[in-house]
Amino acid sequence: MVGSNFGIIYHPNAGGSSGQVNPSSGAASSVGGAGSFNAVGDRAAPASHLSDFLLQLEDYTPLMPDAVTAHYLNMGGFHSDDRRIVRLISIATQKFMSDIIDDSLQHSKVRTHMQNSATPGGSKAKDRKFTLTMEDLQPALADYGINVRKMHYSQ
Amino acid sequence: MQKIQREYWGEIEEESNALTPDNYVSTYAKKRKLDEIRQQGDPMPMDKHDKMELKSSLVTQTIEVMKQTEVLQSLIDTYSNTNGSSNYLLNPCQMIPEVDFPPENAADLVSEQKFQKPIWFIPTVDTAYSRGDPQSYPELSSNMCRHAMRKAMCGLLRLAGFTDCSEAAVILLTDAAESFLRSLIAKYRSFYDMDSKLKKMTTLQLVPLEQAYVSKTGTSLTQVHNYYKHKVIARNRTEIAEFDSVLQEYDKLMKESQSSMQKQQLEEQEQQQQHEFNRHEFLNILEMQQGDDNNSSSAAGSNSMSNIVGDMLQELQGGSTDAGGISLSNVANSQQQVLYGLLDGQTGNTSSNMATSSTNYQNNLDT
Repeated sequence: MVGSNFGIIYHPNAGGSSGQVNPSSGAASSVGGAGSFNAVGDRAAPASHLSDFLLQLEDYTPLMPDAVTAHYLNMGGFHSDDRRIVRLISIATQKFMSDIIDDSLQHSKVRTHMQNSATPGGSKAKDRKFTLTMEDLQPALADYGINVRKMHYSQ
Repeated sequence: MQKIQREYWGEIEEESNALTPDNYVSTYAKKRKLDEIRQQGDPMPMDKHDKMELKSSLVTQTIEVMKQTEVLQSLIDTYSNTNGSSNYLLNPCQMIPEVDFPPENAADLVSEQKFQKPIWFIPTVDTAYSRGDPQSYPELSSNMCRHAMRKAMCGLLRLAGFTDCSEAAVILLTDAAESFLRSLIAKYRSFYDMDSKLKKMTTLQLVPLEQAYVSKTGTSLTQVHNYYKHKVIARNRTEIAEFDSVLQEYDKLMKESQSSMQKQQLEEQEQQQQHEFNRHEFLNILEMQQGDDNNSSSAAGSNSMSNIVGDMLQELQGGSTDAGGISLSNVANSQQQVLYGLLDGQTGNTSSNMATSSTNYQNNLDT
């Protein structure tokens, strides 16, 4: 698929980049700060891809409102007037949370499958309904570096 | 000895008795100002409410289509019996209700070309967005932001396939999202601080954001495109396709139900017609019998009687020959004789009886 080739992972420690190299740095320099990205090393391709992507972001509607992201950016000491970067952060946050939720769903599926296999005559796979519980969410969050600790009184 | 000039803080200067017009406001002026305010009308509070909507039409459509598919599937399960891959009506006499889901609900919101081609093949349209024109966002309170994030998390949960969730889990998920956003922005700020050029800047730059995202998640921001394409858009397309197939199945069942109902109605009508026909036939027969009786009642009566007697005689003769028994033949002969005698003397019986009775009467008179 074409889309799956788009994501080129940028690692700060790695010098080169994998994937198609696009030497056009004009688009990259049009976005603020992309010039300094080129100066870091041989990372022109990801920078240009990213800047191209940034220009197309108008059609990517995030579920999390841009105003919320702008609020947190303002709290962090930024002037959130560039809609493109605000939207990019919104979608990035949505993706991060979506990955956690997908993992939670897998945990929930495994748990319900174990319960159904233990009880004879368990429900069909089609009729299964999944409920998000703390039991499923905690390990998924832990995988992404968010550790949940319960208070002493709730343990 | 020289005296040091000291200025004490808070020292009250002695004012002269003569007040200049700048230092006081005359009561007359106050009154005029009050009149001016009254003429303006009552001061109204400024309306600073901004409506914030979670307007991801794609996700909303996906969730709506999922709901509609569930409704249709439950109706199919109620009214039909699944055998293998095909559904059969449980009760053909029962009418399946019609559903009205407007086709706009399953409309294609994403242009096909947009996400099929690679990003660098799509020409950039010069818009205010692509130019990066500054836009101000409404100021929100932290509570409002948390509320909006909670809603967004619920939408993501439904999109992922969860049908229910505990409240504590949603709160935790909202906290996690907030924590991620705060830590990403803090990281973003730290990359600004590391660069001497960016240190004092507050405008948003792309490169430090990419660096911050990579350090937080280990992936590039370009992966966001893949997420949007393969998770959001692909999910939308899959759900719409499933909805269409379920709707077709339901339409098939509904047509089957309608045809069976029509067939049943036709059968009922035919049966009704048949009943009516039979009733008419029965009435005709009655009419015919009545007509025969009226026309030749005496002849028919005598004929029928003679036929019945003839039959009986034939039966008796046949029975004697068939049986061949002596006793039966004797009985039959005697009965036959009685019957012949009856038939022969049917007309003359009354007269002879009357004659015998009259002779007896005569004899009685004579004696």
